[in-house]
Amino acid sequence: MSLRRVLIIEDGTEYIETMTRFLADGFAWERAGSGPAGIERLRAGGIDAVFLDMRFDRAPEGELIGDLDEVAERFSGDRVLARRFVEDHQGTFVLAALREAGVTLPVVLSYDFSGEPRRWERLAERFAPVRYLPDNASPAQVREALGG
Amino acid sequence: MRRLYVAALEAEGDGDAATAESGYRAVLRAEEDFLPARLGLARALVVQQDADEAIAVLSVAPFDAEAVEARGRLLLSLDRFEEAGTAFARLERLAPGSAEVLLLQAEALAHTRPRAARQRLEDWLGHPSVSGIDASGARVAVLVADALREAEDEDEAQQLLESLSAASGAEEHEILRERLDRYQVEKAARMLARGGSEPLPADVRGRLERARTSFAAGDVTLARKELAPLVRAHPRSAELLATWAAVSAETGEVAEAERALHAAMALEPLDAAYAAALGRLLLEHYGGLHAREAAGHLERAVRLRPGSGDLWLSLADARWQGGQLDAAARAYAGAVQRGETAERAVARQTPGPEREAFPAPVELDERELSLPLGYWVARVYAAAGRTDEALAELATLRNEGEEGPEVAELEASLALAAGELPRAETLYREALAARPSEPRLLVGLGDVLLLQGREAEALVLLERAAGLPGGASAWLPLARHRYEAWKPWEAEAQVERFLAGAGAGPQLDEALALKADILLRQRQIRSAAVLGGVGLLLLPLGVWAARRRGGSVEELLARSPDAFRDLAPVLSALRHEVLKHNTSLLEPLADAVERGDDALVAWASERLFGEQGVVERFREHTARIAAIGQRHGMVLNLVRQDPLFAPALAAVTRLAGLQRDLDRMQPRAAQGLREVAEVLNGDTYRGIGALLARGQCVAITDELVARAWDAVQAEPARRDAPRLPLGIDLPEGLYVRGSHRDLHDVLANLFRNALQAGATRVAVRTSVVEDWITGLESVVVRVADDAPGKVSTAQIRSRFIERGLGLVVDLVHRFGGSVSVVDEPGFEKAIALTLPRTEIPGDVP
Repeated sequence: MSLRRVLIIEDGTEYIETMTRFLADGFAWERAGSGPAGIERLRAGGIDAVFLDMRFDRAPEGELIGDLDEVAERFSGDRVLARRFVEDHQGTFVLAALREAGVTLPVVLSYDFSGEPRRWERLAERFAPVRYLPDNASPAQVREALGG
Repeated sequence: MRRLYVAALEAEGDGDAATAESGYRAVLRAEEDFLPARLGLARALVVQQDADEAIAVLSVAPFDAEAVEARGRLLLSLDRFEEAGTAFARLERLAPGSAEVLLLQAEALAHTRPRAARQRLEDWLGHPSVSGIDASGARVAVLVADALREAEDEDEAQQLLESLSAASGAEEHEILRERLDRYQVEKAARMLARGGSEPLPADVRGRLERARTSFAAGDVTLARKELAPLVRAHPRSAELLATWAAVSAETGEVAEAERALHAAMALEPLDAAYAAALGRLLLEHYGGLHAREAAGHLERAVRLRPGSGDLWLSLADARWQGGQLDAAARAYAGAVQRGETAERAVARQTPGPEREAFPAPVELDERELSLPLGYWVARVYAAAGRTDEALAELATLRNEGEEGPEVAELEASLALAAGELPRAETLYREALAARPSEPRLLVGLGDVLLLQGREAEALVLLERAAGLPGGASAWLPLARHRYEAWKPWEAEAQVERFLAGAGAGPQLDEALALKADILLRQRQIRSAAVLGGVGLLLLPLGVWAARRRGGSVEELLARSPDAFRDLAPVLSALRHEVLKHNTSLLEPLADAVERGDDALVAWASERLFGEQGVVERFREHTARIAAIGQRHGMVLNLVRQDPLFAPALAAVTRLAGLQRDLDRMQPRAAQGLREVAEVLNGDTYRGIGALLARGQCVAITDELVARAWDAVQAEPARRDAPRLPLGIDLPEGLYVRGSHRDLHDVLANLFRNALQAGATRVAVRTSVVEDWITGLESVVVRVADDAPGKVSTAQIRSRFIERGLGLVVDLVHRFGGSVSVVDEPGFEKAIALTLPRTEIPGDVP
């Protein structure tokens, strides 16, 4: 059986450490530390699916996707709040940017949307093919979601 | 070679730089890469005033961090700032993550790019290894501030020093404050050189006195009318401006008052009165929002007039409200040293978030009580949740024979918070022996007795308190008791009496939550009557039993909704930092045990049981939750009474017990891990998420809006004004992030502003907008009015805004929302609050 090649986009190394330890069988894992790095890697090809973290609170400002000035307008011009918002929801910013860049690969977003069903319905329709896994999902659930 | 090096070192130590130089050179000829010799040679050359040669010597080792740092420092000492900056930039690459480099860069950049230097300084302060400003930090801060000032950015310089001085220790604080003083003196000198404040001619002074007399007699309108032409004609009179500010503040024109006092201060920078007036204005009119800025002005006033105990007291208030409790304690000590009594100090405490779990300030009577300073210090500690330190202060007081009802009452409230009910009872009784008709003490003792299940005694005390002047707060525990005794109609009447008499205080949320429960119970009883069900009637016993044994987090939130602000960060950290990434591994770890993968088990074992592992951190966080319960006056029993945390803590204990089996790769560990996973990774993870989501949620309802509107219409200032109707057009199911009380305050402030500006029509409307990228929705609440006069979005985001709007902006920010001004058809304008919408089960799409 051929390996399923998955790109993890996360600002830390927790997911890549876990996946390479617990889901070595059937998968080849790669990591990109930011949205722009992820898009660049995907452009080079050879990836079958994307595993995307939601919160990027350790990424430098320059590596965040999203117009901080525009977002700051929603926070009465406060750039600190804007940055926090962009960090907290960076996964969706990256997802939108992936689709904008023409990436149509399946994406698994690591975030628990079970408390926000209407929000998820809108995102799933807008950015398909995408599904979510709660961020405490077990490796077995990740395997199932990625079709490995 | 070693002998040569030691000899060179000794020569250097003896002050013989030339011999040292020869020695170091000899060492380097033998061993070119021996860095200590290279550094020694550079030092010897510097002593011989051959800095250029020293720099050249150090440049030979461009990849050694120590040599690069030495070169940078040397360049800095030679005022070659650009080159020093380059060296430190290189050093940053060689030693990434070093806090010291950031400070060095700030120092180098100060001379060439002061704003970048400020950024570096702030980066340094934010570095994890830096816990506060030390002596070097203070020195560089002064350097950077001077550079900013040189670049004609005096405000930024001042702001930098102000903010850093509040975050520094006593010595560094002094250094920074001294520099601020110097700025002030220089500013004063500049102002005086331009003529300073204008002395008033005799006739103008007479008119000013008339205006002051009108003001003192309460005729603010006349005073304003008399002053306006004087201020226009004599804009450089600090005295006139200060009077104008007082009148403006009284009429609600706080921004105008602030501007006038800034101008007065600029004209008379060495007069403490204007700085003090500005500090007090900021303190009194912005709900604590600008308390730290107020403290800056008051500190300046204190320095200009250090003998005034009253100024020290105001400074202490500002520090207190700004959350700078140590600085507040120092300022109160300053006040007491200057003859102020601690009793006055206590009475001056302004209600703030820290004090909510404590009684209102002591009502002063005619007697001079002269409470000792230790009492006040204990109170500061108590309010900050530093119970041990508070108790230690109180113990010292008792040892010194300083006993009295206030000391006993404070000890009693601390004992109550800690769940030591018998001790709390003894202390309340001790206080009551001295002040038998003090309603606050009666309510406190009543609460203690209720918690002990001694209802009959408690009710006698509470009913007695409720009948005394100032005893309206007793209606709340009485209402709660009636509610728990399944008498919701009586409970409703009592909670209404509480709301009418003491409802605007810190227990408003608690009362509103109780009222909601009461109404629900009334519906339940109606339903039970219809269905013939009697099972519900058994519930109160269970509720009481649980209370006596300690409560759950859910109960804490029902009783003190404001506790959520303290709980949220801990719950969030527990969920995201402890559970996520860790507990999901338990099941695969069980698999690894079964297949004998000891490398993987060892790796995971460290994450679970090592220092700052899952077990340790979970327990730390739950201890914090228990402490928060205490701070809010409730003993939590997470281990036995909490439906969410009791099983979680049991699972963590079980997990800790599995360590030994895991280390030995015992197969039985696998089953244990799976069982623990089921709890922690299932119910606990989901339960904490749900708790977080629910706690941040408030419904925007007609009732909430109408209550805020009614509260403003009932204010004394509007007593004689005709009651106006409010247009409300709200759909159902609009839940936003925030708390009931904050939203109430936001709306009340907007209503008050509109009415003060002369509105005859006010309406509240809503709409929902969606963010395309995140899929998040926001509810836009528009408060529209027909009052004349425009205000712009830029204005409300600036400092100089109307009274109350600052508070609105601050509260809305806390919810993650924003405030703007929009057009509203049929009205002059609308203030639009954009608040993040939250989804809850059963709400309306």
